[in-house]
Amino acid sequence: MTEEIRADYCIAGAGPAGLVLAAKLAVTGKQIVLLDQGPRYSEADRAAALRRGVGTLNDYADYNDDASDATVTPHSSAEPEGQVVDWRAQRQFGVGGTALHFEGIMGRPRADDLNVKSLYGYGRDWPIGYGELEPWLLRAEQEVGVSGNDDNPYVSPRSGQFPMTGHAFSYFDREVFGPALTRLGITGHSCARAVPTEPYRGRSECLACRACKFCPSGARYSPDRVHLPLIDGRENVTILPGLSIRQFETDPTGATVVAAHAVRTADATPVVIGAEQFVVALGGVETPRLLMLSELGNMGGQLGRRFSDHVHPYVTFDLGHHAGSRLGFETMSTDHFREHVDRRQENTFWMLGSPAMDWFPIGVEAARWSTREDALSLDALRESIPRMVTLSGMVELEGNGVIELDPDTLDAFGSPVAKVTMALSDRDRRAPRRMGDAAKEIAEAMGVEHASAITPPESGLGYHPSGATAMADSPDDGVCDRDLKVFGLSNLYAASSSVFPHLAANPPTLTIIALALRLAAHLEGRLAA
Amino acid sequence: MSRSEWKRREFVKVLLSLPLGYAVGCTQESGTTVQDSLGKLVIALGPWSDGEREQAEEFVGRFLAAEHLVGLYIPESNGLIRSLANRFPDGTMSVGQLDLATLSAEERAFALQLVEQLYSLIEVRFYIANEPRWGVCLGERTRYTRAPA
Repeated sequence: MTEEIRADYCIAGAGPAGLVLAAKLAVTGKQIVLLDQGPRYSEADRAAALRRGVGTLNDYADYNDDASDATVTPHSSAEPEGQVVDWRAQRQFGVGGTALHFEGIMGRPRADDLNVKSLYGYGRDWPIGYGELEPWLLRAEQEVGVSGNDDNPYVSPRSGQFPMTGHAFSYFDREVFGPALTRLGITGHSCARAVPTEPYRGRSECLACRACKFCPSGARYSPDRVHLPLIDGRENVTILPGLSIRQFETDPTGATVVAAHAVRTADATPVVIGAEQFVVALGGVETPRLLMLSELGNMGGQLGRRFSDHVHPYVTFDLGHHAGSRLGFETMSTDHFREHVDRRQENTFWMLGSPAMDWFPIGVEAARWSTREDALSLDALRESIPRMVTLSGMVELEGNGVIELDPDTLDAFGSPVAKVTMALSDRDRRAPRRMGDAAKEIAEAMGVEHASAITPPESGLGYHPSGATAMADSPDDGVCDRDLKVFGLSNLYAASSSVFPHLAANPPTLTIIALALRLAAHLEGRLAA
Repeated sequence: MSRSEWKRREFVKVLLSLPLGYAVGCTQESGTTVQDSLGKLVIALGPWSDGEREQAEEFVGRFLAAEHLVGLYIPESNGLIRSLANRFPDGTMSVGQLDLATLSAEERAFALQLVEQLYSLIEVRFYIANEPRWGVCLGERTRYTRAPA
């Protein structure tokens, strides 16, 4: 028997966008249904996952490790030129979404990132400018508790201060990375983090547990720890984990969504949710997929097009002396290569450095660098581990990927999964190599004698899917309008990184939350005012 | 294959060819002591010093029990593990150098992969760097700002 639920707002997806939106709309007294395909993780679940990681020597243990395909929808990937995209390791389904395990880096887009097409001739322009977005970025920083300092010369103007000061620089950043950058005329600055340096709205300051994925102290922002408690138990909010939305139903005109059809992941029993307004907040892949499964949102043929992601190159080398300890994350980064780049020709990237010891599986490099002819010096290997350093980055892409339905691969409930095809341009391919070159220069500026022994840059895709339901001024350029309403529909909105017309070199979470706050204001009728 | 198994396979690429889990799986059937041999090898090649045998053995217990290693390995693993372990006297810890020239090609490949795997594990890296155990909240927030001793 089909269960029927009625609400004012139906929000599909309880990640950072969905939860922030629900928390803001809840205070209006309107009836809200918030659903998520994944489970709701308790603090005991978090602790158990961490213990499992320690017990099995697996620091890659994660929340969804034991989840079935009914909870974590698989996807497929084309393989053009070897660029296989695989999110099995990074995807998170559950209340909190990918922010359950994110690193909490809260970078901002620069003003010119929102106008790359008109200024530099690649990617797409955003329909809103930096001046319109910036106040929401500031509110998002306050909402999640971002620590940072006003020391970044590359960032576009801010209208206010960070809610709290940034983390003190680590020994490595203060004595090694920062001075090397300075020698090259580059400024190293604080790395804004959703990790408090002082108690913030009931959260602890960071206690240096160095297991940020699970954040045993509760310091790092996680939507289920910060925004879920704001709506939990409210009479006007119904939270439904373990509910997979399958498609939307429209009225006969096709202009208004009247229902969301879902199934319970436990037993596939159907649930129908009727609402006045619907919001899809399912992340960069599942948001466009749901619209495709519903045959909605493709007025201008833009649904699934111009998909983008970040490339994450990294290099490792032996510093020659102990690189120091780590807080669990980097305290310094540089946006230098987001500004001092000829963007007509080259992509930008963001960069940071760190002792490799506590987060990279460097046994391979350490063993190889300690092998001479027919002997492996284990003494040398052991001495090298604390000396090893990793420089890594986040590289923007032009955004030429495509998401489409894959009729050959079905999810647990019989619907085609999303097929991701990344298409890297020449400039996309050059960027990781350029970061590798920059890393080599920085290593030499650190005094590394054998910078030539630096590992060739390796890179991976698959952390920040975006762009496949982009906001735009017209359906010929995107899927939803500047207020995130899907073109051609009166009451369907999107909220996720999938609405980014262009993904710059900064991590997307702060912007996702900023846009969710802005959407809440729009739905409440406050935006115009 | 669980998702965590997959992640380790993808990220710690050395796991892909380490012929270990199959051997462990065979241990009970054959009634041999391959697990003991493997534990002896891990302790010999690992970083623990003489006074830390108990700590090393506790680690080995978890290393052997880690289910994410099962399924990757080849039938020849048992012989390789035994022959390599027999090269070290009982009780050997923290070997300083491994003479690869005296090893067969298979032994050499196995030993290198085992070392790469072992020293990729965060617990081993933290031990070497004298870091407090992973996931333990230090409270002392300025530790990471200090110059290493």
